[in-house]
Amino acid sequence: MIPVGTNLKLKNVPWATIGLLLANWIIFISLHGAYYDIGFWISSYFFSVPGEQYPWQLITYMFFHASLWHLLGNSIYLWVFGIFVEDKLGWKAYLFLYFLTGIAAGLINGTMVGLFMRERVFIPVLGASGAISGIMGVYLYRCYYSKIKLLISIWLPIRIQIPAVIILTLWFIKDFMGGIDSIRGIYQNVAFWSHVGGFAAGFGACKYLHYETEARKEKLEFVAETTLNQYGGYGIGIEAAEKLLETDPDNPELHLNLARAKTRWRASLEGKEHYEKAIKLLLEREPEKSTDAFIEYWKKYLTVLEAKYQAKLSMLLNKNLKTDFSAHTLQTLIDSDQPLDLHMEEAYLNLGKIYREQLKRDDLAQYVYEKFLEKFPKSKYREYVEKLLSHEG
Amino acid sequence: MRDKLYHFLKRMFSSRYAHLFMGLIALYGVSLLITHTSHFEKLVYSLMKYYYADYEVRASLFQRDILEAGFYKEKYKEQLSSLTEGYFDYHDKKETQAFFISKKLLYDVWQEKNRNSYLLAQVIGKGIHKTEVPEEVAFDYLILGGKKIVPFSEYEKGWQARVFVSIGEKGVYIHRDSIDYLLSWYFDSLWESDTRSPKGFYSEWRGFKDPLTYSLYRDLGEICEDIFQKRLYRNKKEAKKYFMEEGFKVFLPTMLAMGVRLVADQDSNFPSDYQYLRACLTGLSLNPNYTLFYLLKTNSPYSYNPLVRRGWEDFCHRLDFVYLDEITLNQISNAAKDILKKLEDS
Repeated sequence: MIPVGTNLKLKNVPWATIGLLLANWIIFISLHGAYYDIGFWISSYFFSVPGEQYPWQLITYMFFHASLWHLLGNSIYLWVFGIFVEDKLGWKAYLFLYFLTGIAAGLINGTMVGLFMRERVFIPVLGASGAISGIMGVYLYRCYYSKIKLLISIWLPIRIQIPAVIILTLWFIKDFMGGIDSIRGIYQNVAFWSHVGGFAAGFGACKYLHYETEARKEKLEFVAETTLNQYGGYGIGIEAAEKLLETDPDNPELHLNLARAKTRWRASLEGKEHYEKAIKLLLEREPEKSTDAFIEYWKKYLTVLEAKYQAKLSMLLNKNLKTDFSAHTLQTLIDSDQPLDLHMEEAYLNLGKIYREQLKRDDLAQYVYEKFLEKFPKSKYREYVEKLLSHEG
Repeated sequence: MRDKLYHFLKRMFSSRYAHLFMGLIALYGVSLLITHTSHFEKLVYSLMKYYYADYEVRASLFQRDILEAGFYKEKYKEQLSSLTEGYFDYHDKKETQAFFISKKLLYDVWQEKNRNSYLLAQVIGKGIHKTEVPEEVAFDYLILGGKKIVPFSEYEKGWQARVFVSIGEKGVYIHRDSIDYLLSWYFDSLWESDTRSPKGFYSEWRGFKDPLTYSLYRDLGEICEDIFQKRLYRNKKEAKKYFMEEGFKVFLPTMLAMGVRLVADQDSNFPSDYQYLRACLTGLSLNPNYTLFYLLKTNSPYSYNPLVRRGWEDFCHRLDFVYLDEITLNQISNAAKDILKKLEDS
């Protein structure tokens, strides 16, 4: 079975993985068909030979591959798992763990060979599979909740999805059994202990670095992201989102998704609270997105927000050429029983201006201005409004 | 400045990434200790690479492969020369033998198809064997195991070309590897299947018994009973050691009888294939056993040894292999004698 992807979504371009793949392919292509004296020199100084090793060989061995299939197989695994590990950890930690697990894989393989397969201590080891197994160990620790997409075979292009925990555990067991076989003298021309060592090093490093906190958070985010928008089974999404809000209470996207989920069938009080919170947070951080959320909210609840927010949102709507809607929300605001503060004063003036200048409804503008004078007799804009009214008259 | 440096170092050493890096260095130290190889190990490996490169030159069919193997041979020769310098001259057989015998290794070289064939193996036992066939023959024999360099025929043809007995400068060589791999496989499969009844000691399909496992069962029945029925050993390692040792003892008399013929024919002008066939037939006629009889048959169409194959065909005419139970050791012995006589007469 060949892994072809996962059900996770990539958020950034995986430059480090692309770089590693390019390095491996460039080295392979440039050495392809090279004269055998170069091959001899490379195998002597760049492959990993447990019994006769220079320290740099523990790094260089990762960049050489024995055949096109060897490289192709490793490239597929690196791409499928590496891009998501890089996405979650960032390129620096990713490259640190790639090289750490690759070196550890070479050392653990060497140690096992030295202990149990002494006669193979001079046989060179090459390829990125130890480091890639390390990245798979990191993937299992960090993205344990994901599913791996597998192609049954090249000749049978059927794709199935299996939980990462199952498939990666099976892979590990398979490599471990291969390692045991090699100790028993059954060799398959594969450095199984390198795979086992890399995988264990990757998993163990994650444990030591306490990646479980982030992993749990990412799982909740993943569950919330993938299930909240579904028509059925979004209950676990709501649960996940609520747990996430305990640690990240000011996440507007979460509030918005929760609001949508909780108002899917009827406008609930909880949904309203999440909408209000989302709109307020978006207004501070991403005002352009707040209007869409506000429209959704308005259609469901038709209830005014605090004057401070509603006035601001109405003007944003007006800026976005939703003049009628803007006038409607302002009109509802001034008709409400909100306290007459500066924001309400601003709402009257803006509504009057929209009626007068954009909608050419002088009668409505006059009504708004008259109400303004009645409600705010001591306003500093009183003289200006009176002037407008005398013009109207 | 000092404060800054102190804080920098403190921050660096408190980082978990730094701890991992230090762990890696510790692992490097452990690995270095375990994988440390002695000059002798390097020398043996270098010798092996050099001789195998020489074999490769002979075995390759294409010019490019021959050139490549030749290039590698030269490179390994350079390595070997630097490693043997001051120890022995690897071109000198006597010096090389003297060096390796001090390390309990047998080194031998002889001509095979007009080119050198080498053998480097551990000496795990030795003795003197005396018998009459009918003339009196006495010879030293060495039991060899853990082969480090195999002869050219074995390198070229793989396990099929493994011999049980050969003759060299130091006497008759009993190649224990050739039977050990089979004993090890048989023991592991029985241990895994937790066999307790004699029926489980061999495979049977629709009334036909698997000839190899059935032969092994007939030869090693008592040992199997001790280990798998009486459970004399609970520990697998100990049980396997007992099985391998006792199993080998069952086959040793046949191998020694083969050696007798090799020694008797030593000065003859018989071709080596014919000598080996005569040795097989003598072994089976003097000390017959089922397993070696099955293994020596070499009836495979890919058999490297046409003479030995012809010998097997003669066995087929004399014995009915469909009913293995009915073949007795006496029948094997008599058939072997007959075939040998026929060969000598022709």
